[in-house]
Amino acid sequence: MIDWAPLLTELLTLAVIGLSGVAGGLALGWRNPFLLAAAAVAVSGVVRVITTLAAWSFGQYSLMTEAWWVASSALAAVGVVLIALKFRKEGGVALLAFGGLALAALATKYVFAIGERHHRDSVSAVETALLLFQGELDPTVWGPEEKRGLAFPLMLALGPDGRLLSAVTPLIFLSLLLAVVWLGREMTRETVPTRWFLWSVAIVGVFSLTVPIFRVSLTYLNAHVLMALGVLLIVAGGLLANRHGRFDLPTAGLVSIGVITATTARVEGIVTVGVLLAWLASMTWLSTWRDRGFLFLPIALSGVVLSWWLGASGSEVPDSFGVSALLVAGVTIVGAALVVSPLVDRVRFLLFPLLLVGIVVLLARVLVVAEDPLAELMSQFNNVVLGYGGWGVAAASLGVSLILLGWKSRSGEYHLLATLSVTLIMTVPFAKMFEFSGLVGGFGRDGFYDSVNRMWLHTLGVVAVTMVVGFAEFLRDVAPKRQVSGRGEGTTPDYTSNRVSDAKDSVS
Amino acid sequence: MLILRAAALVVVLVGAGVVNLFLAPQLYTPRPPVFSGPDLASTWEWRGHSFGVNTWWLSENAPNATFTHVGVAVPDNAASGALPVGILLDDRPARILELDFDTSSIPVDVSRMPGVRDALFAKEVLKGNIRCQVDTFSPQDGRCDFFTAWEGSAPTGEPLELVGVLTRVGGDGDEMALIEKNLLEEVTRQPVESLTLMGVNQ
Repeated sequence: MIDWAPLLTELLTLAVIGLSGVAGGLALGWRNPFLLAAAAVAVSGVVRVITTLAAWSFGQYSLMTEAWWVASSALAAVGVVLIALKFRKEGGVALLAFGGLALAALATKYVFAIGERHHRDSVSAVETALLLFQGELDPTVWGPEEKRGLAFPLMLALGPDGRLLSAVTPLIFLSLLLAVVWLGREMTRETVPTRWFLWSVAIVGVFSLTVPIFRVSLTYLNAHVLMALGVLLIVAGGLLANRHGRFDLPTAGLVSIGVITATTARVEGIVTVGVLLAWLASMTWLSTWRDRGFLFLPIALSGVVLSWWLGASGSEVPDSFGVSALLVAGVTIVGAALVVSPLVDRVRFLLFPLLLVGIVVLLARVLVVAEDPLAELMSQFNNVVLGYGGWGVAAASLGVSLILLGWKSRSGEYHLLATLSVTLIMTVPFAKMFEFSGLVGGFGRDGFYDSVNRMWLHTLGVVAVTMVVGFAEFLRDVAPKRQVSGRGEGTTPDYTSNRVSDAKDSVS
Repeated sequence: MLILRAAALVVVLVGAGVVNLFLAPQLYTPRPPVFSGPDLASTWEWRGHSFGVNTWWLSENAPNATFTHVGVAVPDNAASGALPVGILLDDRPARILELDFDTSSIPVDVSRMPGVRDALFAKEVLKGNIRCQVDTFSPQDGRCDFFTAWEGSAPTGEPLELVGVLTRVGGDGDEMALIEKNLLEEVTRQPVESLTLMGVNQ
């Protein structure tokens, strides 16, 4: 028996999320309908975060949800005008695609009644969403809840009175999948025929469905998948900027949406964001003031939004690191200005490699100072190799697939994606280290409930795109040669490439 | 060579898929979706994780209920150095929902009264976990089995008065309950005031 009243309320809310999200994307200069649809929930989430922080900052706690409705409705109205007058095709397809995702998400709850994996963190997310956010309380009375983030419970709280916006969790997951397909196609559009790309999507998709934690993620009430979506949007922006050799408004918008999403999804998200921003900052083709200005935006936003969140919610996290929220914001702005300036150009190519070396050294230090280094190192073995954490044998399959897909015959973009995948995987224990004073620990423990085990989900989108691109190129190579239309070039990992492809610009 | 690699990939992916589906530990079992906080307390698989939201469920299903004997204290006759015992209901939802707790007294103990626990449990309307401390000598992990019971399917008329009760010690694990006052007096055949409080040697 379908409960129609809350379903219709959720449907209306999802319609506003979709319209305002697509409108926001169009305003940022995105023109690809599948990107517009896939990123709509993230755009809407960013509007939710910013309107909430603004309401908190002025002490107007009772306006936090009304502010989102007003801002989103205004954005949606702009979207309707933009779509009707100028972007009928792009906007129309984007809304249709988003509508499909939204209806599928609603169906998981109201038609198929798919429940959620039980977890104490999910209880916290529900409490925060319904009691604090829907209750429009002063966040400082709530107590520390930074670890589980702001963005996800804020979206959950958009549901009918006393109820979650239940469809938003599957919507985020389905949006991530659409983003994977969109980015995978962007990376292979010029080099792999459509049929082999679709076969690749099918192979990676069917295999993913066999992985227990992947299936559970559809409805799991936690911010990990939202984090994965934010990470993928940052990576997408970087890959497309690298391809076109320019950092423009659409790219800055895409990266900024990803940065704000990932920074506010979980408190340690800033570490992952920082690593990806270092990758962006190490692109040596940055030369014009326009490039530098647009790259400054997401880097500065990362610290500003984090400090705004922690400051407005009365968090003790800045104090625990001996800094104030304002100082974090100031240092980030100055640091962002410095890192995009010509002063750094001579060593720009070193930024990302040096960071990777630093991560490896810090992780090695964790092992060296551990009482039982082998036990520390192997603490995730049971999770990702023996499948205790819900990963089945996905990690081993990924490793073997990377070997069998080959390296020399793969494109430069595959190399870059694989490099980023490995980097993000290393970043998981690195980010976890920041939970502990003295930067120790970070390798977690056995089981689904270990947060490191679930933080591997943050890499889900980027790893999936890597596999989609790798399999698509491999299938093209295996297939009879008549349908080969081209091949990716480059044989070495090149995250600072200044190669400008003549590929169709699919962000703007 | 390429064909061999392709064949190896097929074997790896099919084999891994079979392992993932049929041999690897699974995470999902069918359960109803959660739409609200009280759903968390009343859905069977969430009970082990919902010790902080029982009061949320109670606020919806027993509106304006009062809660007595829900304090934590060292029993009057305990030896020196004894730990405080009791039931911890004062969770975050309870504070936000401003529930009416009387914490001046610790729970009553019916765990040694034959048949009482089972008679009370027969009227159970909610079960799960709760934060607690039962033993005066050794610190626990702070979690007890928990249930709430009242007569009938839903309270009508006057707001309920729910009494904190220790219903089981040891055996299948310590258990505490919130029992509607009239039901408790009917089953124990004693006024609540004459029931023994949690004490030493539990």
